[in-house]
Amino acid sequence: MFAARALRSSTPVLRRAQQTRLQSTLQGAQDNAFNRERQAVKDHAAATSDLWRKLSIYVVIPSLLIAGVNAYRLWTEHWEHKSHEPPLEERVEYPYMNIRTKNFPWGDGDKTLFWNPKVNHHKQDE
Amino acid sequence: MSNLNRSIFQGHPFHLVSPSPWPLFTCISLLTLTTSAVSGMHGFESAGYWIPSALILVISSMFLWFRDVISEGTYIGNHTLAVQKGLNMGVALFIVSEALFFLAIFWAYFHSALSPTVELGAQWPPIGIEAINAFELPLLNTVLLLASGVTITYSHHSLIQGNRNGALYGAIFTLVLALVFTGFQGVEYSVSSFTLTDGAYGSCFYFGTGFHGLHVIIGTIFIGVGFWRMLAYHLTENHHLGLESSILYWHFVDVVWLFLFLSVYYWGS
Repeated sequence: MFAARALRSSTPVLRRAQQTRLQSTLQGAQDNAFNRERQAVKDHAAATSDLWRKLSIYVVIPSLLIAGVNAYRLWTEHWEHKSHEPPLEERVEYPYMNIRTKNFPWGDGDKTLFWNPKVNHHKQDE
Repeated sequence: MSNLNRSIFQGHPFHLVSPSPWPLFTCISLLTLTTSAVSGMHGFESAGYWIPSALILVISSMFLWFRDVISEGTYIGNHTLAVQKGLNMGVALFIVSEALFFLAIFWAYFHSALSPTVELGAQWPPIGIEAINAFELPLLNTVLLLASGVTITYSHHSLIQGNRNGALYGAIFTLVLALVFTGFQGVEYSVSSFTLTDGAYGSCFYFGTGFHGLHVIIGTIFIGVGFWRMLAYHLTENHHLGLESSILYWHFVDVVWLFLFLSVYYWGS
């Protein structure tokens, strides 16, 4: 009791040392069902996170590469094929295509948001 | 004396919320957004100023409200286990409502695709529509989304384990994969030979993939907030409900994509 009062009024260094000791006695969870389950979840996560780390590196990266190469191959093939097609103006515009009931609030009022003149065409422009 | 002390302790685990201006702010902002959007669709000229202003109001209200929720949950300690249970239930119900929203979109699609009308050439895709090759960018996007599901699981399990670096890197890779997905969808949209205005095919295609894309963007922001909260030491190994909700939302968006890929991109071409 007297020692504690002496410490409280002593230098900051001593005070800190005393507080550290007090806090350290509070560390470590109590041994009960709740904390045991919590610890089990944490221990389980250690094993599973290693599995997901391996999957992220050894499965994800190769699959992304394969899918990327495949997409690139089909992409170039597609545009190569497209370059030999007749011009857009000769494409049939069926009645259900380019439906307009009123102007779009942007641009010239006729082009959709992702309009690309290289692949999209509206007969009324001619 | 004991009885006086007793009154300062809470005898139940629930969070009795304190008065807050944000519900009213959000109501007013959402009403402004709805009326501005409806006016805009009916040709009201100033809607171009009203809609962005209303959007800023909605986003600001959400920002300020969520800021208070973070204070309550992370710093004040209002989110007890019982409260977390309730929040989880709320997230689950929200995702059920989202699932039903997408069910309606798929219903519209199959309604048109399963019995194409004579005006469309009685075929699907309709005559004259050049569908997107499902095995080109859509397949790459499928791999990207599934990959992001793997990396976010790595992040989550690392967080529970107490591995801060694993949790942060997992989330960073997830965010990168998500942004690449959105980028490729943008590329897909801008090189597509059909548009939103090309009959039932265009409507259903962009209705489904557009709302999915919007959900991907929202999910990316959601995971981004979780990432920031890990970075700011908000989240602990056993209390990270916001991040868990974002992961659940992300998986939901992933599943919706798988259905879109199978029925719209693959079967529908």
